[in-house]
Amino acid sequence: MSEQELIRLAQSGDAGAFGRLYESYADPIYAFIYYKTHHRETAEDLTSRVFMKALEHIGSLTPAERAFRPWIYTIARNAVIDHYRTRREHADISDAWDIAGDDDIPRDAELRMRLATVQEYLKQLDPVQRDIVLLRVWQDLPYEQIAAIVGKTPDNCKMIFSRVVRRMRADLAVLLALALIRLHL
Amino acid sequence: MNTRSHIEQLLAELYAADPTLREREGVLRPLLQELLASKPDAVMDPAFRELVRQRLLHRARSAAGGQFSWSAFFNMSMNKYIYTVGGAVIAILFAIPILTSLTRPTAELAFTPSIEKSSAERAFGSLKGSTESSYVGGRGGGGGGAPAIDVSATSRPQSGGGGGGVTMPAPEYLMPKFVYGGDLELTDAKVTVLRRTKGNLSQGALSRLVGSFDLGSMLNLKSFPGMSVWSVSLAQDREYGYSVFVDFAEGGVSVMQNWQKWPNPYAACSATNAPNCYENLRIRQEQLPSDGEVIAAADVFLAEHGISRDGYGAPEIMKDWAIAYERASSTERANWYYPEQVMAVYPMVIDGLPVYEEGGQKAGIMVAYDVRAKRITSVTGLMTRQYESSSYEGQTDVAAVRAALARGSWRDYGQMDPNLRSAEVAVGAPQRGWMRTTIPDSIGMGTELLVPALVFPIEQVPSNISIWQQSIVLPLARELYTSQSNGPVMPLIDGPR
Repeated sequence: MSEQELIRLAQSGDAGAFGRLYESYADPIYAFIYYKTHHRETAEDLTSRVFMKALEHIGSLTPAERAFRPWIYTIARNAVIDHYRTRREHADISDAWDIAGDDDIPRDAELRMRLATVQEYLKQLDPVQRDIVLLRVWQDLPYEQIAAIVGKTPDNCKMIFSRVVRRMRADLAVLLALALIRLHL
Repeated sequence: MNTRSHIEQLLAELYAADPTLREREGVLRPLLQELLASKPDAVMDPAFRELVRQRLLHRARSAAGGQFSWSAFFNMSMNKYIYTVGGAVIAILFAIPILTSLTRPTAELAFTPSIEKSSAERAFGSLKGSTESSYVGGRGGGGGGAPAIDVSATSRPQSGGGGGGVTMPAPEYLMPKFVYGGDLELTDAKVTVLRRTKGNLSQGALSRLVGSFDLGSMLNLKSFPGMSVWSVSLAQDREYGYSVFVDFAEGGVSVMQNWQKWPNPYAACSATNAPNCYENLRIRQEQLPSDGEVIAAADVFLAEHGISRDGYGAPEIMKDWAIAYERASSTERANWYYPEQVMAVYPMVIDGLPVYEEGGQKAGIMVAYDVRAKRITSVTGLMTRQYESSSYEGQTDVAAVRAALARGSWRDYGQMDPNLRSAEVAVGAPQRGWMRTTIPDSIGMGTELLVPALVFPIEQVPSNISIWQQSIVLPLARELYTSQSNGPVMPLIDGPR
């Protein structure tokens, strides 16, 4: 059964159809939220809310725009933003990358080590640039879908990504050294 | 996509967007490698994943007002089976479209969960059934919810056989006393109890169809007007075939291996009477499959045969034998009989909470995997999931619950033998769940109830107690906590010496 048919059935009240959509997207949505929050419990909580919200509003997907992936990712993205901006001190925060210091929000300890080499580069990006990098590199989404999620054109997303990469190569020596160390571990 | 090809594709896209980047491939490649290597390991906890799924399904069904699509079980490819009766052959066609169109909604077997709320309190009457002194034990776990305890040891000395026999003292039997060291707070003044509605095709098209059969000189079914189909048994006539038993009255289905079509490894032993034949066929530890292997096989079997997992949680492997093995002595382990079948359970979930038998095991779809044949041999526990709900008084007496916990069951059979010593068994913090129990109605038929419950995991078992139960399940309905005993237990009488 195609995704379009599942959406149509879910919109007509078929619980099982929505369940199958959930099965397809639960893992990538959780991963996306985890990449942005750095905390498992927070990611679990937000993932649950994202799909509850999707269930409530599944009827709003019009036939012309029945593309579930960009829609659910947009809900996820907004859920993360809302999660941080409900705290007054994080009124201008989009995700955990924007928050300085280790004690401001709960983070998984093992993640700090994992992200040590790329942390500084990804922190410097604005939320849209960072989401494009995460969605393309870590989640392997095509540019057409990334564009729908971040609200830009596919060509624009490609250009943004290339510029980000050009900036990242600036600290070449450090990156290469770290890559060599990792190879020998 | 593997890392290498992913990097190649990223580079190709970058060069298409900015051809000048090609000159910097020596830098870009390690940069992308580093980015990919830094990707966090983001795997959703399977249990939480399933919990969210159940909540979503529950929310979706509540919103839909209970209008669900029909069970996926009859999406099995059951086009034609042959049922042979004493030489007369009856072909029964179970084409899905025909059955679906003929069957009235009231006669459907609904395997996806639904709950119809009753406005009346105590709508099911007494939760102990029509007679207090009789009961139908739970579906599993020792038939009554008492802890599964090895009672082979007696407290009396036994005389040896033959001349010169030595009297060896038997191990002392210790009564477990389950203890929870934490706080208990019981605040639900009312609890919702569910009663399962069984399937009934008494007026269904299948009954009409079968009732019109003429079995020739053997019997004329039409001479018995008003009959209904209670059960149907089907079998595959092929190697490694299965039999399917459909119980319309109870609303259940089971799939079992058709024994006639599966190889019997022990057949040669009885035929040849070879020494140590049975011993040589014992399953060895290295033959046991991994949990993943069993679950994968079970998942495939359920999917292939259209058995819906709606309303069931993530599969688990039943570890009763392994628990007993861990608690066994080295001598016992050296001569251990490893199981020939490994059981996976897909636990039933209602409102996000698992359902337990009285004996502490999870209730649900049970899938058996044969270690030797490396195949699924049975699927049981498929039941209709239509329930009615009614409100009952909740148990708020913490002392009563602790007393029930101490004896390991909500059932109280009165005073135990005062000479028996006890040993404490520690249990962990309780989780919420449902307890499945069956109570008799006025004609002795069983009515299945689901009662909100607390589930205490058994944590530390003293070495001198043999228990393979994993948890104590205590219901939260107050009226279940009255004594079922007619008096104190009679003292044991010494046997001949």
